[in-house]
Order: sequence, then structure tokens, then C-alpha cells
Amino acid sequence: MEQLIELSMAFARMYSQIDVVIAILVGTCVGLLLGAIPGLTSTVGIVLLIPFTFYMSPLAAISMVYAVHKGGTYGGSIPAILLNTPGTPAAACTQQDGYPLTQQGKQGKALKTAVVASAIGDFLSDLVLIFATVYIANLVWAFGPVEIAAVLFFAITIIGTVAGKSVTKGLISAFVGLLLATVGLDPMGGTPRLAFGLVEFQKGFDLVALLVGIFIFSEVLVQLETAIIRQNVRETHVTKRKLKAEDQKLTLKEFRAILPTIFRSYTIGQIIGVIPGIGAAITPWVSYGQAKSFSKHPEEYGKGSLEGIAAAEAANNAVCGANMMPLLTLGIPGSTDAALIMGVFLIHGYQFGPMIFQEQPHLVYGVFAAGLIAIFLYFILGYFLAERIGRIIRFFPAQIIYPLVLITSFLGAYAGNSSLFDTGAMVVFGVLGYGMRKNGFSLPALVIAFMLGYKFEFNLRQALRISDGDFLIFLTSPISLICILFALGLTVYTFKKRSMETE
Amino acid sequence: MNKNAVISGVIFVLSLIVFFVLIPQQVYEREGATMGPQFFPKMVTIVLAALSLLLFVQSIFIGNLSKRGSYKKFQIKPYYFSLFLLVLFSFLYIAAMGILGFLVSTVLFLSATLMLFGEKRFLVVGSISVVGSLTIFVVFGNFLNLLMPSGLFSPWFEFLLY
Repeated sequence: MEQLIELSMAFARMYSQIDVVIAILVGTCVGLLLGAIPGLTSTVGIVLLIPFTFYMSPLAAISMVYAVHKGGTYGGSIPAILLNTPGTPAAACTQQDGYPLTQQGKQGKALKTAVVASAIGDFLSDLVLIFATVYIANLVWAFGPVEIAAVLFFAITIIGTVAGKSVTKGLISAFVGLLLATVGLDPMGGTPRLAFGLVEFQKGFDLVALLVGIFIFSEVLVQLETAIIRQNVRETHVTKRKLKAEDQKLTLKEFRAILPTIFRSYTIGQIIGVIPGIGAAITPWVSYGQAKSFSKHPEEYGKGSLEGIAAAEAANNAVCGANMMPLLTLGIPGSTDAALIMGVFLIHGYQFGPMIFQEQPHLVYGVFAAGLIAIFLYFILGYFLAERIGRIIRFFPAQIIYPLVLITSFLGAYAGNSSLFDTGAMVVFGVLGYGMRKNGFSLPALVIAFMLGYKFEFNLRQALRISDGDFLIFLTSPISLICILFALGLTVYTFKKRSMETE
Repeated sequence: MNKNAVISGVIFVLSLIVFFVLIPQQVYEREGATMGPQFFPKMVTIVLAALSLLLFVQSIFIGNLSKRGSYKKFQIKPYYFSLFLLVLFSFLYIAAMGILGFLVSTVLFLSATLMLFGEKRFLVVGSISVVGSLTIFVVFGNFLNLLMPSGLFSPWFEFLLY
């Protein structure tokens, strides 16, 4: 009930916060468009908008990047359906049934199914986020340094283990992130570490420079190498036949038929999305497999099944709200986008944890309201304009877009501290990111571990000081023990499973 | 030697350098201190070294599976030169911003990257570079009040900022 009042007040405040409403609109449109351009995910959209957030109110800034996250997650389905090229990794599953429908001249029906399933999945997951998170946050109040360190160890290990194709490489990525986080001042005593006498190093690596380098500069290098979009767009032929009006609508009967699939897939997305690191790329495949096994017409899957599209889209958008739950309660980002949203919170001086619900209720519920508005906006835009967006992106000149993105990324890295050193660091991180991508290392694992490094070290050392350096203290608390056992168990299980797959 | 073996070797050597050279030299710690500033970086490098050894063992194992196509060797790809050029241009651009100023260096860098990306039409390259750079300069300079890097030509374009 309290949440409902806070949420209503947050909506009421939107009347006097026109900047927030504009930010949500811009965020949704940017997310939708960048999600729809293959190669430019919502992650790229958020990173590109980060320099703008420096000059905005905290609520407007966070709402904008949250809207990019939501719009981008849905937007990836548009090229997956129309061009047979998923705009984001999360939309790869949508392609299975979306493109066959386009080949049958039923792209309108496919696009409408995608947007309806996305909006319902996203909306339900936001409701759980709004009404359940505060209770989880209350449980977290009892956590001390031992539990916090153990939970962070769990998160870093899980992200490293499941985020990439190789467990070892994922864990190496996470520990490289932790090592990079140690550059700068020691969190307990303030001693400079690995600074080489340079003031720039004493501050530690700039978060924005790291994000821009790892995600955008490396992406531009990848695009330069492969020129994927141009090839794919040239190879793709959209049906020129005359389209029937009834094939472009989602009828009430069809909607009723896909509704159980949407609810089932939403539930899968909600559960998997809460676990840090797994994210929206894997969830649709799990949900797609489940939907197929429950379906009365499994033979239609892969040939243009509306259920298939609904399963993939409801699940990948359900992750949007779900992976905000560990972020808001424990300060653990569930995905790369959540990590970036966390970055914007940090830039504006907000720390995560259960106290945020008591100290900043206006901000938290304002962001929740922004999420619901973003869902409404992308539903309207997607339902009525998805085909036009598809037509626009088909003619996007990649050879012009990427150099412009590159310039914006330079400014993004420069803007935080007006420092050319940070810009240089961004290029170095970009080269590192490119090397990691090409060799199967995990970028999200590195970035998320980098962001959690400071907090992890602080709590770990505090816990060890309490125990006079005895690591067994982590086995004395039940929460800590469970986290450590889960982390180790899942690592060993995933390692064995992937080893068997290799063989 | 396969690719992963080389990578794991590099990570292992770097971990040793960080552990034995960089941390003792660059992180001051009182003698006999426990859980001091060196503790966490050392712990992380130990785990990194151990993981790199594990990767090495795995790579040797995967190397033996070369018949199944898992074995990857280092190869010089033709696009490496373009990638090298983009990185080189980026560092030159950063250096040029401090000498020539933001706007002129951005026009030059944007022209170079557009051509690197395969845009051959000089009119397009020229117009996109000038219009794109001017737009970014005006938007970031005026609306976001970002203090751009200044240089030799910066006074010429001050009239664009209010």
C-alpha cells in the first residue's frame, strides 16, 4: 500500500517535472532506435548519453538511461523480425519466428506480437520490482561486512562464470576488473596504489572512460573489422508483395492464444533476471524452449509462430525490471545496462543498498514511474511505427554512423573531468575490450567487477579485521556460507558442463 | 603454440610482474601490517595467476583437439592494419586536440575515420566532417557548457560559443 502511495505521488510530481518527462521520451526513442540498429545496443545508447546526464537533475538522468534500457531491449526485435538481423543479442531468439513471418508478408502481425509481449512482460516485472523490492531491502538491513563481502563474492563469481562462453575466461575478466579497481586510493587508509606518482592514477580509473572504451570504442573497432550491417542489409530482401491488411493485425483471438505463453515466459524472465550476470541474452532461449514444450503446435516453431515471438520477447523484457532488484537492494547490477544505470546513480552521488528506499524514496519511486512511462511510450511507438523504424534503419549508412559515434565517445570520456588523460585511457580500454571480445573474454564481467571492486575490498578487509585475518569468519554466518557454497557450486557445475560440451 | 596458450602465458607473466614488482614498489605498506593496502591487489593477482595456469592447461587440452577445429592459431589478418590506423589516429587526435583545438582536430579525425570506414566520396567526407564537428562543438559547448580542449585555432571559433 505504501508503495502504491509513493508511486502515485511520483506520477503526480511528473506534472511539475517536465524535464523528467522529456528525458524519458528521449531515452525511449534513443533506446528504440539504437536497439533497432544492429551493432548498437541499448548499452551503447546509455554510454553515449552519459555525458548529457552530468548536466541533468538526478531523476531526469536516471530516468533517461532507464528508458534507454527498456526501449533498447524491445527495439532489438524490430530488425530481428524485418531484416533477419537481431538488433541486440537478446533479440536473436525473436528472429527464429519473426523473420519467417516477414517472409510470409505478415511482418505487421509479428511486430505487434513482439511489442505486446514485450510491454506485458516488462510491465509485470516492473510491478514486482515496485512492490517486492522494498521487502527484500528490509532483509538486507541485517547484513554486516561479512555478509556483504560474501554476497559480492557470489555476484562477481556468478557474473564471471555465466556471462561468457568460458568459465575460466569469464573469471579472468572479473579479476582483471577487480585489479583495475585497486588503482587509486586504498579504500581503508587512503594510501595511493599503483599510481606511479601521477595524480590521474591516484583518482583511480574514470568509470565513464572505462565504460566508453570497453563498450563503444571496442564496438567501433569490431564494426570497422567486419562491416556487418552493410553486408547484412545488402543481403536481406524484404518481401515486396502486396500485403494483406488482416496479416498486419494481431487479432483478439490470437492475443488470447499467446497470453498464457506471455505469462509463463514473463515468470521465467523474472526468475532468471534476478540472478546477476545471466541477463536478457540467455533468458529468451530458455523461455522459447519451455513455450515449445508446452505448445499445442510445436511444429510451427521456427516457421513463424506467434507464440515463439511472444515467448522470446516477454522473457527478454521481463529481465529489465528483474535485474534492477539486486541493484537496488544490494548494489549488485544484474546486467551490463544495470551496471551503467548504477554508474549514473554513482555519478550523481547516490549509493545503493537498502537505505536508498528510506533516504531517497522520491528518487526511487520516480525511477519506477519513469519505467512504467517508458513501457507505455515504447508500446505506442512500437505498435504504430515499428515498420517505419525498420525502414529507416535499413538505410542507415554504417560508414557515417560509426565515426560520429566515435567522436561522441571521445567527448563522453572527456566530459566527466575535462581530462585528455581520461580520453587516452578510454582508447587503451577500447583496445583491451576489442582484444577481450575477439578472444572470448567477458566485457560485462570486467565492468561489473570493476564497479563492485571498491565495495568488495572494503567489506572483505573489514570482515577480516574483525576476525584477525581468519577467513573462516565467512563460514560462521549462514548467509555468507550459502553465498560461498552457491558461488563455488555453480562455478564447478558450469565448468564441468561446459567441459563436457567441448568434448 | 595455440592462441589461448599465448594469452594465458601473457596474463601469467603480467600477474607475476604486478605481484613481485609493481605492488611492492607502488603500494606503500608498513612493515608487519596485516590486511594493509597490498593485501587485496596481491590476492587478486594470485587468483589471476592461478586462473591463467588453468587456462593454459585447458588450452593444451583443446590444442590436442585440433582435428575437431577447436585449435586456433595466431594469424595476421588483413584488417589489422586498418584497426592499427584507427587506434593510431585516435592517439594523434587526442594529442592534436591540445595543439590545434577541438574543432579543427575533430574535422581532421572525422575525415580520416570516415575514409577508413570506406566512405570514398570526398564531398560526403568533407561535409559530414565539417557539419558533424560543428554540431557537436555547438551542442556540447553551448547547451552542456563543456569546456572543450583549446589550441592554436580555438580563438577563431570562439564566436560560436555564447
